Amino acid sequence: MPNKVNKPYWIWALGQTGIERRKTIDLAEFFILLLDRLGSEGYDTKTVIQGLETASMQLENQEIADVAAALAGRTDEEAYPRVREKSRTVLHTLLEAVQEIGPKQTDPESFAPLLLTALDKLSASFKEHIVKFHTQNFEANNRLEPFHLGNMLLCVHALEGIIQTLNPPFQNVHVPFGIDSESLRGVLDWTGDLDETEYHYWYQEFQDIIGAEQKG
Amino acid sequence: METPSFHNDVIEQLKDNPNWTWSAMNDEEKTSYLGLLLISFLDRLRYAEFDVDPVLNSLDQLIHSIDVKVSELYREQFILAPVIKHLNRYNKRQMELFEDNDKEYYSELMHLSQEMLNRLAMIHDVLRISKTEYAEIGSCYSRLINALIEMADHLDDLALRHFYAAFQDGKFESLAAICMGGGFLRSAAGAIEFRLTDDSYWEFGHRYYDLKALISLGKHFDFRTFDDDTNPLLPEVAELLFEGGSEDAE
Repeated sequence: MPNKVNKPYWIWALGQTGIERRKTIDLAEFFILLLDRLGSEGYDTKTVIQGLETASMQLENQEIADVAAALAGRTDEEAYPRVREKSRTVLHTLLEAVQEIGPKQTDPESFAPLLLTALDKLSASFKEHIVKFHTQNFEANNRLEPFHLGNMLLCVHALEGIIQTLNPPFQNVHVPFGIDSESLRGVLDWTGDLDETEYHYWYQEFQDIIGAEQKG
Repeated sequence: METPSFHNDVIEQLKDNPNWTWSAMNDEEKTSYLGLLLISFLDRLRYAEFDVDPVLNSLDQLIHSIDVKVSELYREQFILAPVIKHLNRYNKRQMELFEDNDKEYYSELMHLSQEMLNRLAMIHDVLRISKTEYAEIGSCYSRLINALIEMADHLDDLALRHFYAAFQDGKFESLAAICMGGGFLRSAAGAIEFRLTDDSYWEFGHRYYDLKALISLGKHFDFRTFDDDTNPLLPEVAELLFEGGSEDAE
């Protein structure tokens, strides 16, 4: 277990903007960032994480297990760069596995139906929320803008792309998807209060340091 | 393989290029970048049959009014007039290239677009130094800013009006592009205003717009079809559209 309050993985990733070289974030890497972001927003990502844990056991794949552990908040922040490296292979590993399983995907013992059902439910719940509240983004004098709605829609597009990727007949494998790392802060900003959220975690970190110094 | 177009060419040039790292740019560099994105965005909208003429016309009027002023200035400000003339020559060249849309000249158009907003700001600075009267040009700058804001409002209205139908059709990416377009145009307007007055109503430096996301409308996207007023409106949408909600947002 981590020995101090961790900032979530996606918040850590935002902090890399401007430090690291500008690049394109592919669907695989974005998949994990998006799951973490959805979890922070209160969506039920636990069953997806359980699906990933089951996949890691059935496929005997440590990388998926490590990524699932980070999503479940069981990873120290120092390990996030390695988590990100591993996250880039997770989608491909899952795709290879579901392609191999093929028709047996309906086998209740397999990780595939568990994971895909969980992703479907997550996407449905995210979409339901967007439809229900989308007009708020067009109201005058509201912090929410159409821009934030657009970012959520990009995320729905990504999530649907992931679901299509993992579902027969696997038609989404070659669909190009990429997010400019410089725009990650925007893409994951759904409520216009990302600066405050980041400040919250920065302040917790600051308090940890002060607390440690006082104890020392 | 994408069809050759100015906006696709710019996308290729920008992709993963560290020279275009928004978080490392100062205000002047951001203004350059926004100018390039603006012309690329207008280009994409033009392909999608969106009416970009109000913005292009206001640019043309601005360039023309600067030209008229240059002729007057030659009599009074012998040194400053050629500077403005030189800068405005590039503006005219850029508008010609944009109109011609010849892929042989995309590279030149990209270069000129990149410096467009800075050129307009420099012309304004020189006019200020010249202590000449330039109220007519000043109102042309305002008209350009207003044209951008009006286009932004129109995109917002389209996004709101057609959200439900497009969402149900799974057109998430194109809907996202339309939702973000308005904010982007306000940023461009904010950049112009800021460079002219050191202040702006629309903040432009904080938020980064990814050109690819802005123009991902999808192949064959046509605003004439999208802008279909037969789509049923949700009551809350009708309320916002017709009782001033989104229109009062500015």
